[in-house]
Order: sequence, then structure tokens, then C-alpha cells
Amino acid sequence: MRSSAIELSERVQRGELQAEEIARAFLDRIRTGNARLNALLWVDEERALAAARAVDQKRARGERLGKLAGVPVVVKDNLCARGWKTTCASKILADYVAPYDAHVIEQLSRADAVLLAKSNMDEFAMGSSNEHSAFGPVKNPWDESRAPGGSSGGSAAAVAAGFSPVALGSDTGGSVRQPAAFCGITAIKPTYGTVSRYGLVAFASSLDQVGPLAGNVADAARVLSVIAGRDVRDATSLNRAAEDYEAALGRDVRGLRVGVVRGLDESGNDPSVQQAFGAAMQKLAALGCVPVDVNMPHLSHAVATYYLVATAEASSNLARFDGMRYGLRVTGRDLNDTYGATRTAGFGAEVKRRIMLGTYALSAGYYDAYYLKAQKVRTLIAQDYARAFEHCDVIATPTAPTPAFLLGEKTADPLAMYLADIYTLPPSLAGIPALSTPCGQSAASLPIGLQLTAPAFQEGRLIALTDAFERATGLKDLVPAAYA
Amino acid sequence: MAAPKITTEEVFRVAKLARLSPSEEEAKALRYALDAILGYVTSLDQVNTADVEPTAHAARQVPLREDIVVPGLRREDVLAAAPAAREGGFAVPQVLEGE
Repeated sequence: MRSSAIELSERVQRGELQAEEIARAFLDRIRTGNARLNALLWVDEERALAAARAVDQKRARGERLGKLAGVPVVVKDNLCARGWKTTCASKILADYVAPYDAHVIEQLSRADAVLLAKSNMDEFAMGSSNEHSAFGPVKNPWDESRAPGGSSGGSAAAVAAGFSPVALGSDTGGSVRQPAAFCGITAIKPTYGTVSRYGLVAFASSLDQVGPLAGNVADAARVLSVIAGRDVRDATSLNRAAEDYEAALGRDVRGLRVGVVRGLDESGNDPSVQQAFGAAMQKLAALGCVPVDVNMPHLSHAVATYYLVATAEASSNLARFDGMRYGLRVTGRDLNDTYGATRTAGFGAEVKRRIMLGTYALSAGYYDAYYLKAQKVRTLIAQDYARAFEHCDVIATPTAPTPAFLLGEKTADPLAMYLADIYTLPPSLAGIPALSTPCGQSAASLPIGLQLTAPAFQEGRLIALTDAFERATGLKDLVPAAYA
Repeated sequence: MAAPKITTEEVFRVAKLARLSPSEEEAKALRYALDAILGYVTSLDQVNTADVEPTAHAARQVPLREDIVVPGLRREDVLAAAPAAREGGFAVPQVLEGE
């Protein structure tokens, strides 16, 4: 059974548990298990224990504690934490120590959470398997010959293996949801603009969102409540009142209309996924939900759209890594040679591929045919959702077409890897909230995820439905045998 | 495999724009990869986008903040991460010709 973050924080607040003993227990698990999984890049025991002690001292002084009091957290290594290495799993930032805290790190600290480690990821968040890290791949705790998913593979593996009750990841095209599905846990990508991106190293600015990963939806809801909210330092941070996402737990879901998308190409789907999804839909019907067929004709263009928009934005965002102000510098004959030598040595192959693709799509003569065209199809995809949501309250799909694939299975063909994102990309393009939760297992006991999507700002609907589904299936209590 | 539609010259042209210096071998691999991906994304040509506005901005509102000055990062902290620092600034290769 996994530890619940909510339960831990309540016990710390009541004085039944000390934050320091909790931190020690999780650090022990990390020390024992991380070398095999490579989920965590930088673990700072001294700093973590000091932070935990500070929470205990705060309580001893009679001060009020935050909603994550004493709760250990691991965060993806593209989030800046002051004094911690922040490498984005890249050689180009291999020695970079962040001089400031990301907004979400500040929020976790205000809530008295305890940061244990920075987690491994695909380099600059570009990948779906955590095989593109400069510091080695992450293994899936359910089967170490398999990928944990990506790009927040380290965060997902860490929660699944019990290295931390909750984690933060970032999601641009599915990077918290898909690893959550592959690792049998729950994750949320919030509505675009809900969580500040200040201190998140940018990949694609119009798509990136920080999201929680947890062993259950209540914990995910609590973490989301802590990290969400207006931050003037992020120009895309929405000016909306703070929301208590836990208020949605226990809400009645009878009569909720669940949209199922008809006409999608499912030829690439593993039979175990089709079976688990079918069973999930039956479960939802048993809970009183009403299935509704919806048509979304432009969803089949999501992969092409995303890999033009996201790579174009990435080519711009990664221009700052030039060896001048931070990170690696490889000195060349002159300025341009230094830029080229630094970036060629510092970036991995997948990152370079995407920068090249994005640069091409934006270059003179090609901008209209590629980038502008993709921006228009993006509008059509958003319109597909708007029309679908006139007839349903949430839309359900599998999170991924297959369970966790083997390490090395898809790395030879970048396009094959991209096509695996077919379900998670559309909500990212539309900027709407999406959640992945376990809905079954394959014959080989590999987790399978159910993805639920809702209109903008309707995270509550997703949380309520997932809460009911979780209680009906009991799947949140399944843990990988090797990490029980 | 058929010869890629994208030429080696184009690969180097784009690499120059992206400030990348691929080797001949890397450039060849990039050429094949880009060709495959570009070949796939041209499927968007089939989509009728006449009269469709591009999604240029993802945010639903664009709230502005008060125009007040607040402290930024401390110089020492920023320069601590620099590859080379001198006299309170980043030491970089010469940018302009002459002098």
C-alpha cells in the first residue's frame, strides 16, 4: 500500500509523526532502490533532512503548518530549485545550479513540503520514454526492461516505486499523463495558465504546464491546489481565484455524460488497452455515467500539428543555450563557432532533431506551409472539443495505445515514438485539462491508463469522476512487486 | 529507402540558422530523420483551413501586472553560473569587428 500524502500531512499536523522520520524513511527507500531505476538524478539528504527538521521545529513552536506538512516531494529536473542542480537531463546544463526557486517550488515550500530530490527526465522534456536523458534511461518499476514513459519518467517511476508519495512533472504533449499510465499512478495536466511556468525551463511555451503525479487522485488534487494560482512573473498565468480542487472529491457523478470519440484509427492499439478501456467504460456506466458518441474529425492531425508547433517553439526557447551566460561553453574560433560547438556538444540527438525541425518550419519560404498551417489546424482541434463538449461533460480515451514498451523498442524511429502520443496531444493543443488514472493491467501485469478530458477550468469534474472510479476499481492499491 | 527530398545543403542551411554544427555523419542522419518527419506532417495539406484563424496565443486572457519595479536576481548568484565572468559581467567572445 502506498503512503497517502494527505494522511502523512494530517499526522504531522497532529504531532503523530515527525517530518524528519518521514523524510528518513523515504530517503532509505531511495538509497536502496534508485540505482536500479535511475529515477532520481540529484538527491540531497542533508538539505532534505534540514528542511524536514525545520517543519518539525515550526510545529514545536505552535505555528500553523501548510497543507503538505512534512510530505516528501520529488520534482522534475527542469524546475529550478535554488541551490539545486537543474540540468533538464542535458549535458549543456550538467553543472548548472539554479539561483532561484520556480513558483511551484516556492508554493511547495510555503505548504511545508520537503524536497528530497530532482527527478530524471527526457532531455529538455522532449521524449515519451525517458530514454533521451544525458544521464541514462529510467527503468519502469513494474518491469525493468521497459520504459517508464516520458518525459516525466523519473517522477512517475519514483512515485510508483514508493520513493516519494507525490511528485511534480511537466506536461507539454502528455509528459505527466503518459508516464503515469505506464507506471500505474495518477497525474493531472491542468488547464493552460493554471500553474505558473516561472522557473520551469521552457520547451513549448504555449503548451507547457506543471502537473502533479501521485498514487491517488486526492493527493494529486491537494498538490494541484498548492501549486496552482496567479503568479505575475508568468505572463501566461491566468488571473483566476484560487481553487480548492479537493472540494470535488466525493461529488456525485451520476448522470455525467462521458464522450467516446468515434472514428479514431485504433489499428495501433494493443488489445490489452482496448480491453481495459472497454472495462473502464462499463465501470463508468455502472457508476451512473452516460456514454455519448462524439465526432472529432481533426484529432487524427494532432501528431503532425503538435510536432510543428512544439518544435517551432522549442527552437526559439532553446536558442538561449549558447554557452554565454550559463551552462556548457565549448570555445571555438569565434562567436559563431562557439555557439555551434557548444550546442552541438551539449544537446542530445532528439533535442537537435526537434530544433532542426522547428527551425525549418519557421524559416523563410516554409513558415506558411508548416508553422502557420499547423496553428490553423490547432484551432480546428480546439473547435472539435468545443463542439464535442456541447454533448458531453468529459471525454474518455486510453492514455496511450500500448502499455509500457521495451527500452530500445522505439528509439530507432523517432516518428514511431511520436505516434505513441496520439491520445495525449489533443488536450494539450486545446489547452484543456486532462487526467490519467489506472484502469487495468495487461496480461503481463503492466499498467494501463484511462485519460479523461474536460473543458477549460473543469478539473473538478475530472477529479470527482476519477475519485468515484478509483473507489470502484481499487487499482490505486496495486504496486509493483519489486517495490512493494 | 528513396533519397530524401530535403537536400544536404538545406540541412546545413537550417543548422546554421539553429546555430548547430553537425558533422557530415550527423547531417546525414538529420537529413533522413527530417525527411521522414516532414513527409508525415505534410498530411496537414489535406486539411481545409480556409477562413480559420491561427491559434497564435494559447492563453485565454492576457492579464497584465502592475508596472512596479521589484528586485531581480542578485548579480553574484547569476554570475556564479556563468562559464566565464569578469568585472561584474559575462566574459564572452568578441561580438563586433575591429577595436
